[in-house]
Amino acid sequence: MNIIEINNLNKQFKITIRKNWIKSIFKSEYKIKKAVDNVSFTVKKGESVAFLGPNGAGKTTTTKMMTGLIYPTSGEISVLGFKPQDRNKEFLMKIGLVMGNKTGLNWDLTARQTFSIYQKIYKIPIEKYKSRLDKLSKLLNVDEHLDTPVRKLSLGERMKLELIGAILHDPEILFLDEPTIGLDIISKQNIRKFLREIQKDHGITLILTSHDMDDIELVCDRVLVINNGQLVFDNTIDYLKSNYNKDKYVKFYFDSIQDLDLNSYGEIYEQKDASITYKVAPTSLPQLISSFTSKNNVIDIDINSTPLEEMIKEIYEKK
Amino acid sequence: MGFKDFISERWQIIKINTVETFMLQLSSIFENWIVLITSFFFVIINILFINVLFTNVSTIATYTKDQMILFSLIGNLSFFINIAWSADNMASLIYGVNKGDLDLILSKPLPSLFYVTFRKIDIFLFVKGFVPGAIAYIVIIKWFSLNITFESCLAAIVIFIAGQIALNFFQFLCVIPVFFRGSAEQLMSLSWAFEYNLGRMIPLEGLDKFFRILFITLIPVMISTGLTTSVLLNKSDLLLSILFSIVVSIVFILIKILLWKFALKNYTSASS
Repeated sequence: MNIIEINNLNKQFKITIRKNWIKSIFKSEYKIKKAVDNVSFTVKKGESVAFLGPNGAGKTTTTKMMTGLIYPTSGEISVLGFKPQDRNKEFLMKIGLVMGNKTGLNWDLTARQTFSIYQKIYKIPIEKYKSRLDKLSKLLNVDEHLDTPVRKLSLGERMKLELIGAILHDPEILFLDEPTIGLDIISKQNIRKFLREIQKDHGITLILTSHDMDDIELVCDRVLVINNGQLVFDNTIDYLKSNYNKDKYVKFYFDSIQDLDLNSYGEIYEQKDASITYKVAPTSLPQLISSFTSKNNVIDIDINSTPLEEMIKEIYEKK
Repeated sequence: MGFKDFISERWQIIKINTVETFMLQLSSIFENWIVLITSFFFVIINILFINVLFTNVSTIATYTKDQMILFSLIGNLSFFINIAWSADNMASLIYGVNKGDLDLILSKPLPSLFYVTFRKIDIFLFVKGFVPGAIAYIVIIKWFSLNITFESCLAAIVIFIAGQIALNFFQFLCVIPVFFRGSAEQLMSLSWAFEYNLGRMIPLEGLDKFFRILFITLIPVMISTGLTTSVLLNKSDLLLSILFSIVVSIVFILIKILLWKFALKNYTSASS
């Protein structure tokens, strides 16, 4: 059963241009930016869907239209049978929203104090609220932070509490906009694991926007790639990985280069003064590292998946 | 939603937000006590100023010295009620639109306009700012010299409430450009200047007819101060003033609802 249906969705923003400071006092000039361009897709109940795209691609704008925060310029959206922009109370009761760089918790209060306000807003029966808060806070290992003022918590602890606040009322759909932005690797892993668990155990539908490929791989089954406001890819995460994320990018940082024949190690992706990046197949990775480090004075090594920009380039090329 | 649920939901919001603001105040209980001293000194200076004004005259704009002090008391009440709930909430709205915090309110099952209007209800600030000065005013006024009746008292309360609604509408009107232009702080200051310099300083009878009408309609900064005092002292027609204030506040509420819907349609939400 589809719980999200989107047809030919468009969103345009009018952006003020200030070329001439004096002229702009009397007359403003505008340009129209197409943030979302004719996007159509559906989402089934219980799915875990990721919006992947570079900054400014249109993924957050699409999420904001699905949650009713902004009105579409044209096109149709139906989420849980509601038009989100009507901001129907019943609809808002059924969704949760987490924004990685915005705080829903009151900075000066403790998380428990804010949650007790949510309990009243969402009319959660008091016993259910207590047991759910207890369960979720233990699951995310933040039960000892419930009574600490939010401003004294680390970003990772705060984000875990933000997540609890968004799902206390047991929503049918949870929208997450860059939930792991700025977090350390351990916090990221904990949050990804938690999201996967609630999606599997509670059948909650997850809609996640991120430009972090790891978020998407570990949390979602399906990925929608958005670029310049257009939907350029809609398939499973396995399909994306096997078709577009085949290579590894190995970056060597060095003091000095002894071996001047750098091309002999493989395909050079990028070369800078004190670093060089190779693009290799995962099977050739050990061989590359071993031969490069044996001949050169390497300080550090980074191994990354295919950069998003490369994947999008490849998607366009294959199209 | 029935009328009972409608009222009950809004009452819940007021209760929640009052408690939340109170908890916030408790989290910084040792701060901001300076407002008590500042407002108390304002009241003392105001009383001294009125004494100076009335040294050689018995009335100004038909007001005796005690009537003028009563006007100052009501002006102060209006000012502190306004900053305890309206002005701060309007400033929060500007911040919320610019920083995207409004997103997190709009995504919750709340009557959003009512919620942003009553997001903070700072009873602590009201008590600290208003009460000490009010005691000074109340002690100084020679109450027996004032023509106050039970009816005029009731009428003044209704008009005062309507005046606060009107004042909030005027501030809201000044804030709404933030949805389209991204800023409204200067307009907010303008509304503040009108209220502070006019509403609290000049009695209604001190203005000519044009300005009287202007400042209780288009720029409604004198309903909760000048008009309220005038009615309380039986200087204006009670029924007509009540009727007028109620009609004006209902019209303002309706315009406010329409403006809010229009603003949300144009809300772009700050980028993340």
